[in-house]
Amino acid sequence: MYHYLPRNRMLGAVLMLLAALSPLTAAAKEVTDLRGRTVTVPDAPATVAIDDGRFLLALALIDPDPISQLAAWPHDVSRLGEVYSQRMIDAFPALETLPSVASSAESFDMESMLAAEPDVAVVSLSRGPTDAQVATLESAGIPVVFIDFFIDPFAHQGKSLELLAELTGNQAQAQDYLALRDAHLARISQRLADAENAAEPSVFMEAHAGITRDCCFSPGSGGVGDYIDFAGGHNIGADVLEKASGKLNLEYIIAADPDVYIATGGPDLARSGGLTLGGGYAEDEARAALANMAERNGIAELAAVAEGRVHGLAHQLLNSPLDIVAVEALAQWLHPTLFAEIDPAATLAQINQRFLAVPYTGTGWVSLEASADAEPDDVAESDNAAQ
Amino acid sequence: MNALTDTVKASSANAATAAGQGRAVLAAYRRRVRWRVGALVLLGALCVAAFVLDIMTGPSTLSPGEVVAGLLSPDGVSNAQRTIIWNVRLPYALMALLVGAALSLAGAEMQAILNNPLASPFTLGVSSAASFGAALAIVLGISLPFLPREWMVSLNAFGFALGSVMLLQLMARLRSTSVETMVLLGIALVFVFNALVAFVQFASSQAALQQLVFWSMGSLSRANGQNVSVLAVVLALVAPFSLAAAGKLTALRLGEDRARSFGINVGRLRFFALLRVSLLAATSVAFVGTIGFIGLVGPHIARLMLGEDHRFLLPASLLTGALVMSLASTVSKVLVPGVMLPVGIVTSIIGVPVFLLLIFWRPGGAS
Repeated sequence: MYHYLPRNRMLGAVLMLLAALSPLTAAAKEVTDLRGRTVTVPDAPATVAIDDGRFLLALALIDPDPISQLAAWPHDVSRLGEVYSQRMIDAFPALETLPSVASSAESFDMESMLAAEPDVAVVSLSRGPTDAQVATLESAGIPVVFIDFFIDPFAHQGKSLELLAELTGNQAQAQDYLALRDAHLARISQRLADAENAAEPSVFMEAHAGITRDCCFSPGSGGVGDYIDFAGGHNIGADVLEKASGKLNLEYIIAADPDVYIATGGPDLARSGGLTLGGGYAEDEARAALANMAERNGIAELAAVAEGRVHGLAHQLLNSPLDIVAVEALAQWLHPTLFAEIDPAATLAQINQRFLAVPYTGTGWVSLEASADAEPDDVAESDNAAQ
Repeated sequence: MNALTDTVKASSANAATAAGQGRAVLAAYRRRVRWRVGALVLLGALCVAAFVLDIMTGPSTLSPGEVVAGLLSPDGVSNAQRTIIWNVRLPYALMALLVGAALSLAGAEMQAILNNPLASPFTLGVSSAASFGAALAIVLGISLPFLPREWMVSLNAFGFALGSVMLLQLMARLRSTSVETMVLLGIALVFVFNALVAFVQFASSQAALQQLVFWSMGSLSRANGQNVSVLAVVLALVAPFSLAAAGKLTALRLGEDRARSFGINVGRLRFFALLRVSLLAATSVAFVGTIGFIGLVGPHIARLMLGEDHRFLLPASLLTGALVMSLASTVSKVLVPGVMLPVGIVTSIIGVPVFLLLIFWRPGGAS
């Protein structure tokens, strides 16, 4: 066995030499990722690999050609939504032929990532590679950067987008976009601060509405619940859930009788008969799905439903830097008079026109209150409830 | 002559002692039966108490008086209170009793026919098959025109669970039916179905995977009027047949040959017992997901209290299962108010202490 050693040593020496030389051949810089790690990356990485198709939406926001630097992606079209993925592929056919890596929903696959040979691997904070796998990748010369649009979206959107921009050299457009996002957010927080003593309506936000026959997955403390707080509402899930999400007891919701009911969903819930909206769904289809959600056991009896404060929101809007559109919709639902003139549709149109390489279309948010013929019934019902 | 009279006296004395012994045995038997009947009544009363406690417990501030009022005259309470009592608490509490009873009865029969204390409805792959059926329904999105989609997952889970038992029966018939073969085949089925579920998970999209994970977490919150009634009907239809077979099952516990010598068709007994087990377990899994612990430990708690006589063991298992599940349902609501804990976790937390208590402190009835 010993005679293998010298060769191993030689290989090691060569690797070390290469590692020592690489900073000389390509200028390097340091970035701090979402895990708080300081990572040395090439100054201008030629290629990046991503482990979540939904990162494409963020890339499309800051880069007119979002796949020009893409070395590999997981081809997980269902996460991005079939419709949006198809539009993306129509616009950039090369997407279909790019190498595939394991998505963050699967276990990390070392070989496909190594084979893709990206200059940087951009992976999900929620379920990326393990520390040992990161070490292996970095010893193979692939720095690993963790970003996050999903675990703690409100806090991490800006930082994650900046990291992506830094790696792909799109800082200018990212700064423009983040300036727009900050301005829109500031408008909401400012107006809420000015309107002293504005009541905080209580909100039940049902995550993945209709994914199983029973109900009541809800955001808890932090995570998506931050959006409700920011838009001037009170998330009833946060009162009992200490983690970011969990399953509430239906009785708790009926007893709390929230002022507003918001269901979140997406195209992925078509199979379970849940709330389908977002890319590829017309407004009346989304509204019909939302009406089904509001008719379920326990939900149907909520005052929010009887009085027409029922709204649906696409996950996609909360899970991407497009979240300002969701925040504006939320703010308007929670404080209709305070934010009467805010127009989320106009904001989305502006983002589509100024930034997104592939525009986001479909029904990202919908409300039941708008159906005029239902109104007399609603009034009658709320009268009954009052008696 | 004297000797003769002595003998006669002695023999009559013997007869007298024999008769006395017989009376003593009979008296002891009657005492034991009385204790067992008493224990069944006690268990029944505890079940009722646990059910009432379950109905009275919840995160909202309904007082016991309001709950009773709401149950007696639904129109006399507010809309929200009526919904809480009739659409949340009542179905959940009934489902807990029914699922506990069904799984525990199924476990008791399974342990008898396989002569194996580790047997439970899930040992032979019933639950794995149900999960696979549910996974297929979720991932392929299959549906039938006359059936609401939400029932399809349950129906498919039920179909696969029942099918797995039929398959087992068929394979056991092909080879000469011995208990060991059957257990081995069942364990093989567990692994096959677990592998198939893992494969479906691997091959399915993120969205379907998420739904699948949510489905497999056992939860009473899927209970509603319809599925509670379906499970109640299944239990009401199956339990009398179980009880009717109790004597034969007791004989089977004495050994397969002994049972045959009593003229019992063991193969037939086993087949129908398996059929009942699969109906009970498959219906339960289809409605609330996998709740594993009850089917194993419910029968053991009953056995520790009442012994092997299946005429008492089977109804006692039914009651112990219902009791543990009902208590677990209450605790799952109370531990973190407002949040639904997966009830399968709580069944173990509740069931294990009861079980240990009985092992270390056996009440008088245990034989």
